[in-house]
Amino acid sequence: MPECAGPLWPCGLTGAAACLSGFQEIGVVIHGSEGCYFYPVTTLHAPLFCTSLSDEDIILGTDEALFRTIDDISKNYRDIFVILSCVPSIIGEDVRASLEARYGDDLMVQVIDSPGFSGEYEKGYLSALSALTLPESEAMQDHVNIDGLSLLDPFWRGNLQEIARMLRLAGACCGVPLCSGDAGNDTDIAPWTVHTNPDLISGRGSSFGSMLGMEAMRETVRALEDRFPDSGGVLSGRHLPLAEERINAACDKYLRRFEPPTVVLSGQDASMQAVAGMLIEYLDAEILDIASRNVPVEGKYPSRWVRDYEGIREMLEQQAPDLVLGSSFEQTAFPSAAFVGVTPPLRGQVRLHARPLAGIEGALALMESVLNACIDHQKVS
Amino acid sequence: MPTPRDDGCTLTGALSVTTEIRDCATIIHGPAGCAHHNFSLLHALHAARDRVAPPALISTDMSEKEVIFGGEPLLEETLLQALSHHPEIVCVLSTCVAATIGDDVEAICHVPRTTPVLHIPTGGFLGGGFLSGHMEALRALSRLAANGEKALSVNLIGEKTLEYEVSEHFREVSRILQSMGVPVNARFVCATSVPEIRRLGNASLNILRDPSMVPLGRSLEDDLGIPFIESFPLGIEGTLRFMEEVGEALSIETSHAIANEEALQHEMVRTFSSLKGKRVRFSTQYPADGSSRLGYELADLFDLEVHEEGNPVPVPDPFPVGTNGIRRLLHRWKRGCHA
Repeated sequence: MPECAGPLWPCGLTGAAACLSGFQEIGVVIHGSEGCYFYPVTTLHAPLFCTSLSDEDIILGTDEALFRTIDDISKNYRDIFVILSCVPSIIGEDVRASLEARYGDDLMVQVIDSPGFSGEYEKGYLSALSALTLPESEAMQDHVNIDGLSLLDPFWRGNLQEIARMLRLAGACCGVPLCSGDAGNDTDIAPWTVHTNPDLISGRGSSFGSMLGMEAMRETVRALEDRFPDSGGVLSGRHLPLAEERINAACDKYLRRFEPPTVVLSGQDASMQAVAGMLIEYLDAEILDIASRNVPVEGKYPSRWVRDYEGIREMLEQQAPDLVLGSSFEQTAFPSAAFVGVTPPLRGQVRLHARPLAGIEGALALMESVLNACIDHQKVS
Repeated sequence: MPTPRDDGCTLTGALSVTTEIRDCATIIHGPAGCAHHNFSLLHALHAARDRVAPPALISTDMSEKEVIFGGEPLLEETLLQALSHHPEIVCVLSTCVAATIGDDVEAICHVPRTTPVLHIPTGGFLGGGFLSGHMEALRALSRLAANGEKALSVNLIGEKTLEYEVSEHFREVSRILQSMGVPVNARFVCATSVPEIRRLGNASLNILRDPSMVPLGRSLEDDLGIPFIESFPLGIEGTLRFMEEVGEALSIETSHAIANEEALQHEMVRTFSSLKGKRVRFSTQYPADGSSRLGYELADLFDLEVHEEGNPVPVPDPFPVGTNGIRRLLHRWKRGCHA
């Protein structure tokens, strides 16, 4: 398949940068050209550094450029992570050996091999996360980590705030958020974790489950309340039923006037599966297709791996859904449908406040957006 | 410190040109990640400029296999597919990876075809920075133009298409030119077409976006016989001087238009009189010399005291174009000064 017209999803290097830039006291060095640096730095809004390799470096070796960059930042960071881009990976320099010879035990420098040609965003993110120390602390038994946060995700702040709120209601303390800027490489993490994004499960701590989508959330809340019984089941007894009641009432009102929407979802596969479940459960929506940005998992609903804009455009034109959930790419590709943004990038709009997609407020916000988009669409058509 | 300027690599520079041409298919010969980075950024700019269609980018989607065995067959196949959609032109941009593994992109593009296929060497670090890519693309495309009969009109050369206010800058320079009775022949290259590029040689004057375009201005002067002015109009006095220069270059009478522009500037100064006497500091961390000078020009005009403890006011680089650009900037200064 040689033609890939308008690739939709970032590479592994961006994934690794998104993960590592979500930690304090880690200096993140992109070992590559300015182009490899430009995109992550403009989309993550986090301090990143770059060796800015030149043709001379490729001929004479990239060590000097790497040492120069590390020397410049080493006084400001306790740990330094070097993300290898395509070119250093291709020319096959032994970067680890060079760094060992130069810095030995004087400076903690780790290398993440995440060239863009060898894998996509999730792979790079999880590969970088697995390289972090993050020791589990038995003393944090009453804490729960929140994982799946990424500075690339327009919902990360909202998800963090909402899941922290829910953990407090569940009687747990908020552990370490992975990866949203509050922890360092050797920060102690809790032995328990909940997930805000089922496509970015860290593997750190024992999992209580996902907080994305009502079905998963019910299970996760049950597991949390089993572990922290002192909360008195306020989430499962009051907050979740109340939220479901509100969603049911709003969807029921919608269905009194309108047919359920036909839907195409586009985004990370496991996340879209969770969202699709809500649309079916509350709105009796018909899921026409799921276009997965990453390699599809074995899910409840059929999905296809669609990597480029042309593929998305063809799928949407073929399916002609009433409602599209995805990124601004999908919004542009099929403007005649109602649209709800759930996947980055969400371009061409001002977004200031912290919106959740996970948790109770995330579920409410999602269904609110879906209903408003569908109602507005009915008015137009 | 090697950590770079925030303006991308040669690839981004070249794409800022080729994606502005209607019916142009741009192939990026490299991993999909390189293309995604740019596709996403350009999509953002298009969305901000109310353009419906996203940029027409095709990635050869190079994988580990091509890194090991070479990517030329993949490029040939992608090129054939791109040509099957009958674009007016195909631009092939190489990446760091293609350059490092030594693919002969030029040879593949050089095969004679009915549709022009231009190779723009943009091997990321191998080709320099953003500006090099921008310039390489403009140079390659300028070869489509032929020397023609000159009319009273100008070309706009090297607009910064990634600028958020690129449309506003164009409207302002067009307004000023129109006030002197001078139409724009071609925008090289912003929201343009291949036929528009082909008629580049019909203008009597090239107006460069900024002095970084001077090498291109010189080569267009050599090839097409068109003289140039180094920059769009910037600053109060600079705008009036720009009008004089255009008038001289085109041998047209401009005193009436200049008097009108001066009147517009006086009216603007009255509108922002609440700024008078305020204490300001330029909030841009390292304003370029040119922008800083223009900032001081405005400070003098309004008797502002530039002091490190003053109200923060922006001095953007590049500086806003023309009188109306300054008007928009003064609104931001007014907000900064709570005036």
